[in-house]
Amino acid sequence: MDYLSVTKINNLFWLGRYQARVDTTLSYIARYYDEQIDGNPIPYEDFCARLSIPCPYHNADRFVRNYVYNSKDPFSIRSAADAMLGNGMVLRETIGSTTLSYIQMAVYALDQAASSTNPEIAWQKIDDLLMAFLGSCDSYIENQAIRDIIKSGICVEHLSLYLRLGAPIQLIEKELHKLIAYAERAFVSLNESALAILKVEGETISKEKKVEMPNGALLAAVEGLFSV
Amino acid sequence: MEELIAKKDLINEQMARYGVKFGIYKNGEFNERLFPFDPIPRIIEEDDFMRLQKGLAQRVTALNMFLADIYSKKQIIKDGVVPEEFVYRSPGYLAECEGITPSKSIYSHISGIDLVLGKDGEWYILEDNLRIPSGASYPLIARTLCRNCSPKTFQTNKIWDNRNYGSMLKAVMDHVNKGGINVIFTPGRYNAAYFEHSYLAEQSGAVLAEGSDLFVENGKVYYRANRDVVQVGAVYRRVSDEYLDPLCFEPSSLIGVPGIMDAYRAGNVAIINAPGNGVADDKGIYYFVPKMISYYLGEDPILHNAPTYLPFFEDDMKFTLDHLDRLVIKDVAEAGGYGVIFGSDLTAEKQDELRATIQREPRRFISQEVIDFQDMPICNGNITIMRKADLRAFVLTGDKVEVWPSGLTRFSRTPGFVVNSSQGGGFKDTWIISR
Repeated sequence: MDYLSVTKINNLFWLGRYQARVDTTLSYIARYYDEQIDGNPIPYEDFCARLSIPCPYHNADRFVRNYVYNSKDPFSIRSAADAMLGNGMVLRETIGSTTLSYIQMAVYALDQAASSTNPEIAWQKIDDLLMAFLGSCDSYIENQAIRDIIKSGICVEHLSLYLRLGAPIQLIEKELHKLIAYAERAFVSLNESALAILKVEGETISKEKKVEMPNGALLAAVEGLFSV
Repeated sequence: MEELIAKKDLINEQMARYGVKFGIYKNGEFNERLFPFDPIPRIIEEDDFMRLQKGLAQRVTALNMFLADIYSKKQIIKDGVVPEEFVYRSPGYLAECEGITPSKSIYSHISGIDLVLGKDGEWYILEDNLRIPSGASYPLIARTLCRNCSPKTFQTNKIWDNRNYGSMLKAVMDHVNKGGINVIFTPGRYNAAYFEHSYLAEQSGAVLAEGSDLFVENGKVYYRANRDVVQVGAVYRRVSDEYLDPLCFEPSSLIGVPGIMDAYRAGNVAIINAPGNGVADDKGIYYFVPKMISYYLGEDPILHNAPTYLPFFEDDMKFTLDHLDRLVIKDVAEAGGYGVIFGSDLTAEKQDELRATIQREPRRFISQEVIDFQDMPICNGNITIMRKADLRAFVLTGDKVEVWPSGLTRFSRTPGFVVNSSQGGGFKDTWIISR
């Protein structure tokens, strides 16, 4: 039997959020990097503006080097990876050493990618390890509440990024329905008015197959759904 | 064995994978490091271990009896075996624990006894650790990883399995539990031994809790779960005595549980190890442990102390001052390899300064003969070098007194005697082997 304190719930939720932040932002950077091959510049200024983070990078190379790898940049992927591992480390007995080891390895892989001459392949390894972490959560964590809290964090972060970065409507719709499902069986306290907004938006998106962007009300409901 | 040594890098990669780290505070900053592992194990033959087992169980039994005596009748003081100065002036003695009888009368549930193997083939006890001895988790996880990396080594050697530490720990907690869940109480993420706290919680099935997760109500300890509260029956605390309960000890402690000592005093929760144990592992009290064994058990000690002198006694003071250049001087208030001075390392002027300090504060120091303990082989790149190493044996006291068939072998990575991890040392697995 797992007894979950408020602190642990908080760590589980943020473990999920940071896992999704690392994985999702890295996939965006990989896509930009690939498009650069065809001569399309990396839209790093727009990217930073959409995420409401500072943009001190001056050029695309510096952006990739610092936003991805610089652990001293608090908005970087590397910092998010540290936060992911920090939340995971205090949950060893809750999620298990095996599950934890995947995020530890993902952080090592991110550091190794910094010196790779083939970053897209190096980033793929990070993605593999983060996917293995999710698989391990499903396979080894018996308590559904623990899995749901992690997945709620992942959905919230996915939606937060998708809404800011203007992801395809199918992705937003899928993630929104998943989030509502997790929220309705949630182990943690919910903001009921936020849930109501998500349900209405979910129905509208399913019907109309579009969402108004930017959508501050939807983003606020996503971010405010859980009080952790 | 050669195959295991050849897998050194692979094993250390596995250690990194599982985050086998310890923390160090230096210049006010917290840093975590991987704990360097050397694949060449310390090997203890079964017969030797059987003798060690008897000697360690004897010593811990006597130390538990001493603690029970000190916090109740104090007969050993009345009988003049241990001078009262060494009890009441010890920083580990806690008047707040007077009259408290812990669950099942066990004080030191998990004892870490530090030994060295002399060149004469004898084991010598260097130190008893009865407060919160750490280190069992490292050889515990190392064994699993070494088995994965080199299964053949473990097929071809008859090595006693040490992977039962989690269940041994659980049995101890269950034995003294006063009704409720078992909890491992950690100061938090930035404690040097946090890896150990979380790993032992996983291995023993206990709940890992910080101070803010626990509270006391009506003399009982509860764990603050999300939707309800759960009574706690046993707390394996990894928080030192002074920070355990701000209402009883250090009032500024933010990591403690207010009122836990009241719950403990009322017999509603077991605390592992008992508060106040520091009086028995004080470096000054160490001198008296062989006498305790004779006093309480009527037996001769099976294991020996390193030859020790107490400047508190006139003869020992004279001996210490006369032979300072060949002795090691230890400050009884220090731990972790700090406060250890080898007389031979000092200039004549510094020796005189130390002599004056010892004369001014005789109770503060002990002096010991330097045990010329055996060097152990260490892999250094592709070559093997010899370094000093000690052994921390873990003795668990629950329904019975059991010695874990393994232990933490710490080695110095640089020439010298200091093996502590906080000072850059590494560790090895300890094999008990049947031929």
